[in-house]
Amino acid sequence: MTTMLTAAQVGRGRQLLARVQDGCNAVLLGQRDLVDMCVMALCVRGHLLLEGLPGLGKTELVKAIGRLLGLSFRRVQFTPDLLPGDITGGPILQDRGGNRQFVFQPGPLFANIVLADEINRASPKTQSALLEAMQERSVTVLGETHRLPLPFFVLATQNPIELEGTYPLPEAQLDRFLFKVEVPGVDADVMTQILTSRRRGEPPAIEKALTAAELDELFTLVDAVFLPQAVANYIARVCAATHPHRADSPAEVKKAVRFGASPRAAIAIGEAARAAALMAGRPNVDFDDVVRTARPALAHRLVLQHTAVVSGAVPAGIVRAVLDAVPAVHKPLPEVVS
Amino acid sequence: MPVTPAAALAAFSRRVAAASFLAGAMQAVLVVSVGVVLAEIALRVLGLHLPPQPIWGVLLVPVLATGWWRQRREQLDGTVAAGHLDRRLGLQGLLLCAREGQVLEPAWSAHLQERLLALPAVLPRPQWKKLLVLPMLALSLAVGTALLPAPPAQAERPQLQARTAELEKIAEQLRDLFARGDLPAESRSEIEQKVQELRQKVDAGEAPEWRDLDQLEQQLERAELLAAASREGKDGGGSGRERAGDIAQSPTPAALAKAAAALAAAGLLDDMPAPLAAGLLAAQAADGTFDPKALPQDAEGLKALAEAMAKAAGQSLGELAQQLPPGQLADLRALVEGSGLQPGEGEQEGVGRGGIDRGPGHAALDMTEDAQGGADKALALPPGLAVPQQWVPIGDRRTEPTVQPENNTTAGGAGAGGMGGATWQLQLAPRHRAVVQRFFDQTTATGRGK
Repeated sequence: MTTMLTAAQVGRGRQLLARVQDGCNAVLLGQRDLVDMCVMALCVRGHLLLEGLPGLGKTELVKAIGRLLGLSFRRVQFTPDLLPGDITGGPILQDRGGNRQFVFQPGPLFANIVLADEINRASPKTQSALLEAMQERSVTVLGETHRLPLPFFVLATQNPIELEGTYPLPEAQLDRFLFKVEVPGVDADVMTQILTSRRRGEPPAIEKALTAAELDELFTLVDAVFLPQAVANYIARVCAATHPHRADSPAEVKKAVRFGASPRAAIAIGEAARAAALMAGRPNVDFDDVVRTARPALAHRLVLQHTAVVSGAVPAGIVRAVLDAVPAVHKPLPEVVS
Repeated sequence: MPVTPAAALAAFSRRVAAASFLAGAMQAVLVVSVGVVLAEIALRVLGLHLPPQPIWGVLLVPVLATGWWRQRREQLDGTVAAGHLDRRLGLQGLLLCAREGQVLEPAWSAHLQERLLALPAVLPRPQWKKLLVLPMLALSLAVGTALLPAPPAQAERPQLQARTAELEKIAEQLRDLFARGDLPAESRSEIEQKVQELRQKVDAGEAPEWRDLDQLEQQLERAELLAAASREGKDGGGSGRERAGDIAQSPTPAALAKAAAALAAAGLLDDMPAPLAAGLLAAQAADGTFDPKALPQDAEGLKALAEAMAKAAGQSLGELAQQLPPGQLADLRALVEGSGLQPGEGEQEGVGRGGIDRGPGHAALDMTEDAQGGADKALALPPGLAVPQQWVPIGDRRTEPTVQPENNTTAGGAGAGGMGGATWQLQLAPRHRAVVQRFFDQTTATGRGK
């Protein structure tokens, strides 16, 4: 028997989250859902992949998060000639007191927030260098492992239309992103607001929203959000339903999906749902939190059939079909009652 | 009064269980009712009626069993019930946490209690319309069908009528036999008892089996045969062969009446001696049939009448095949054969006419127990028939005879003029000749055959 978060603790958590959200919303106008997703991913220390057309503010959002959290921030522009050593760092020969020795020079990965801009433009070799960093929060060079500073976030962006000269991220690396969030366009009202409130599109200057202690407190509060067994069961059933070989999978999955979501996906949903619950002012996760976080957590983890891709199926649609097909409570009430 | 989460979940589960039980029971009521209706309709089609009886209470067993089975199948465990109730109460997982033993601070507890007060409004409600309409409709139909009055007694079926008529005919023959007083008491009581049993069956509305009727008829014929033999034994006159012929020539008044009708239809009554013809005409009814009771009832009178009728019919039996229907022709043929004459006897001999050259066969073709699998049952032959008198010894040797069959090089027979028409006379038993002759007569008439 454990004690759940009190109403005061939940209120405190909401307050801390609201500070970050407000700061992001001040920088990126009209993208509240996108901001919420980003904040959720940060609260559970997950990596984020932002996909959207150029000029939608992806990079600005990531830069704003870095400033708001008061964390060290590095930006790496991924290009085809970028080498692994360029991001991890490497040993360089240094002369120290007449003795020359190799000293490890940390690369841009050694920061709390790393913006991997246009990550799909780097070669697979460089992309793979991110794998260990994202999963283990460490970098190994020449047999020597170096811990990365915590918290460590990789916020990557990629452009979905300029595919020439790009290297699609391998499934293993995609799986390490907590969310893949598609950055939507904005409507005319938002654009008007941008035009009237900003010169040359420069965002307003924002101050640090959270101290390091407050960030730790926020992490602690998110971790303390309770995940009931019934909701955990729902997450598991949703993930299981993405596998085409299962008898109870929806028809859309059987038709379009080649490989379903991994257990890491279920973990990601569970963790993100905690942040969503705290954001909603609850001490526990509810089914609605799962529905809210399942799409960005699952869509990039599904491997579709080639025929389905050709026929226009999109992972987001498959996830929507799964959520429609899987009931929140695994056994429905008898038909004769209402 | 505060409602605890456990109590709320129990109430929720009970309501679901009750609804499931009711749904299962109603499903069974529907099936059982439809079954009862179909059974009642089927029974009524068969002329039966099954009114409601206390034993019908057994039908409650499948109803209760199905309800119990469905309630077990749809039973909700605690987690599932909590999930449903949490969503219905809008608690957003708080009830799930409480059920899993999480300690809620007062604010959350108060919120939970506030929502739990709305429990009666969110408990599952049976969909009465979906649950009850069809089963109750079927149940009403079943009760109505069962309570309908019993169908009126059906008219006797033709089959029953036919069998009853056959039984009456047998009883009539039995009465004739009793009137003559020749039947042994043992046979009489046995036959009487069988007739009585069959009558009781008919009175109860059951159709007697044809097998029983045939058996009784054969038993009656056998008894008649024995009675005739007994009479001849008492008279003590004549040789064995003559007695056998006399017995065969003792038709019943009913048989003579039928033969007389055929004779009258053929216009042959005038060929009979005048007194006998007059007696027959006196027994003739307006519809052309003859009353058996108006015919002579004594054996001598019957014999004389039969012989005269046989003689009149036998002279032109072959020609009568064109005039009479098969039934009447068969009656006449039986009369002629029973009298010891052969069809065509007395007619002018000629091609295709045939003639008597060997006499009657030595054994009657009786379809008795032998034909029904009763070969092991002893059949007492009348005195005089045990020894075939028509057997003529042609030699007496000490060694076994040598059999050298020869082909019939004179196919067609001398009497037939080599046309094959007399072949049947050489190879067939006398009693079967009439059948063969009738066949050839028919084929001649229709242009087939020879």
